[in-house]
Amino acid sequence: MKLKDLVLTSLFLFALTSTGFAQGNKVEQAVLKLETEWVDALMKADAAALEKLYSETLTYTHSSGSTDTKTEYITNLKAGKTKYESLVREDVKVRVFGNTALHTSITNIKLITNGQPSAFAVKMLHVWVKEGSNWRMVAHQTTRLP
Amino acid sequence: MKLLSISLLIVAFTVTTLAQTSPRPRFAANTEAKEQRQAATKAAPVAKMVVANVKQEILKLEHEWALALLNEDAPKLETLLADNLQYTRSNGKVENKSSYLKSIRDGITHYSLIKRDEVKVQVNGETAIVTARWKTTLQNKPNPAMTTMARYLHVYVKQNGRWVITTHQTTEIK
Repeated sequence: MKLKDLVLTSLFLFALTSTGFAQGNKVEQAVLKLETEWVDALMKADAAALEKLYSETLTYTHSSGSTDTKTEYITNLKAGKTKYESLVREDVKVRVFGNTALHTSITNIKLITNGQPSAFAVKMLHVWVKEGSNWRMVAHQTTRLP
Repeated sequence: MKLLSISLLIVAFTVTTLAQTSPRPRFAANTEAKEQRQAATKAAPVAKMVVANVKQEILKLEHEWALALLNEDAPKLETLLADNLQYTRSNGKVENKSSYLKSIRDGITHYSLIKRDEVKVQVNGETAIVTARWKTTLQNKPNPAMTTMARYLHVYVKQNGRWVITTHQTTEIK
């Protein structure tokens, strides 16, 4: 009887602790999935997909230091000035703070702007915030690596 | 029977402890959503006031941060920055709290001018995001002093009842 109780209690405690960890992990998985969707959308210049991923309050800071609101960003995308050829991530980290998740990476970018190809690496920061039941990107900022 | 009571006690204690210590984003988000719903139906002006107060508090902290940089006030910066700070400089170099503070204490990072504008604060429950433009005259020794325009982003989180900067990233305006 004594052993049975102990086993049951242990199992219960284990289940409880796992659930606690799983919550954080779940957010991390959700954010990583959204990041993949974001890269896909960028490569395809898929305005409709990006509209869904971006918050209305988006602040998008390019590596040139210029900033776009969501509307400005979508307008520029539709104008087709920049075409992404590849986006390769490394050193990816996700940090979760309640309803906010920070995704940082080194991202190797190949793109064509006004017919000119270029390739460079940036430190990329994405801030995701849970709005209702959806996580949306509220901030993007890149800093060029030498 | 006695053993069962003890087991229950242990479980209850664990539940309480876990609830206090483990980060549970989904629960927090749910609470937040519930609060927002309540705010929308009952007390919208109150919720707006709370956000406005947090904004004021963050703006005050931003001012203190800029002042601390100018004064090379490492103890003040220590209280403004989170222990898990990620500080990305305009050259892409990432510092943690101790390496960043060391550069301030040792006088390697030296600001003689900081001017900020286009400051935007967005509050999301227990986090806040600040974006701003800043003009700085900065000397990163042994390099000479340079005046540049840049944009920075701060992510504030509330830890132990205090708002602290957990992420800083600067992008130079070219």
